[in-house]
Amino acid sequence: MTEAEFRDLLAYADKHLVHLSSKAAEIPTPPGYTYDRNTHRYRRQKGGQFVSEKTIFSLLDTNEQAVERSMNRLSSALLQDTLSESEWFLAMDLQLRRLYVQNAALGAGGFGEITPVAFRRLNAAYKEDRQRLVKFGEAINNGSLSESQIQNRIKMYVGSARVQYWKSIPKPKHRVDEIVVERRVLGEAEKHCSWCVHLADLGWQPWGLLPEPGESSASWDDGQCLSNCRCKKQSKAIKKRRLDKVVTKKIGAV
Amino acid sequence: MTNALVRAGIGELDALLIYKKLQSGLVLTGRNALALLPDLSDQEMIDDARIGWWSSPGVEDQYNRLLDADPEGEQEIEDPLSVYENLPLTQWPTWLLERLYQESRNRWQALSERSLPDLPVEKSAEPVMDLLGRIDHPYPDHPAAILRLYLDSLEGKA
Repeated sequence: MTEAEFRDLLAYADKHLVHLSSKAAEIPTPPGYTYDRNTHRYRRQKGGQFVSEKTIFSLLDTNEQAVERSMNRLSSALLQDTLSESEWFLAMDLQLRRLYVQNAALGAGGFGEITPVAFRRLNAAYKEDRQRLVKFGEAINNGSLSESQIQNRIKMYVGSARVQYWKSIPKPKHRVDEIVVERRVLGEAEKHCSWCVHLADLGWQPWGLLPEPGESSASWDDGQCLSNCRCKKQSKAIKKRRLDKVVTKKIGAV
Repeated sequence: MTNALVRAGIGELDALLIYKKLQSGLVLTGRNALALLPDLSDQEMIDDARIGWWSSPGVEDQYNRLLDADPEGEQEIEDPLSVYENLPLTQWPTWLLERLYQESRNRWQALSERSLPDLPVEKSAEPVMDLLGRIDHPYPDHPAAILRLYLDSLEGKA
């Protein structure tokens, strides 16, 4: 490409961006939502019904699937040499970064509810994934990964982003004489890893002690599903005096 | 160049943005591209993620505005470590200490802009301790304090 052609293309890109931005402003918006900080649930502004948990998980799934499809297509293009490694990286990075923030927002109660602490945590995790992404691109480019290995790796990146959903869910509100507990619930899978079975077996535990679904442990050497995890977590507030009856297994004894 | 991105499933606007980032023409590898990426502010990340949410084929139109929800009620911002306050750390299993170290490390890194290794850290423990300063750190949530507990825990289980 000559320098003149390159400049023309850039000018076209600038014009196109302005055009698309003005178009975006004209799109009619559907009815909005509110986020109830007491119940930690989304509510439709029109009619006031709560958005079901099933809908939230379905959105998590479908959005992730869309990102996964896009990442697979990008990686096929890199494999077939129709994309350069740098283009692939920037496009993959864009997809992943957005997914991290979107999942965090979905858990937190909207983009405006992501706390600065959550952003620091998200950024740290995302930057580690970004470094891995560079190496992943190099491995695809030098042909050291099969298509199924590439697909598996992409699944793992998408799964890592899901951890942000769990981490961003606020602690349920409770009264002074109450304490919040949580438990791991096994997700749908043909076979569960021993790490998830162990965590589910711990039953109810004080809030904040259990790892989020998708979080792994370097010291657990009996197999982990890592970011392929599809487990869920439940939490509730209980009276403090009932703690010993509800939390029956001590984590420290493991 | 942008056509290749669009064919690979990237939106036209995003493809153009990527193309603009690559306009130097010298960016050939992912490593070069990584060096190009600026550190985005929280708000910039939100703005960008919002564009992605609205244009995602995985999000039905009726949920486009879900993540722009107006909050109702008071927000409670809790210290993420408050949950650990009354727990005897020495009795914790290794995986729980790993998690605590990870969280502490992320916070500390964000404040100091220095990089700390991920666990397991046996081999790198000494330089990390040097970097962090005193081992007997007065703050129980400091990475050095947690690292010490973690190493003790490994030693105790060996």
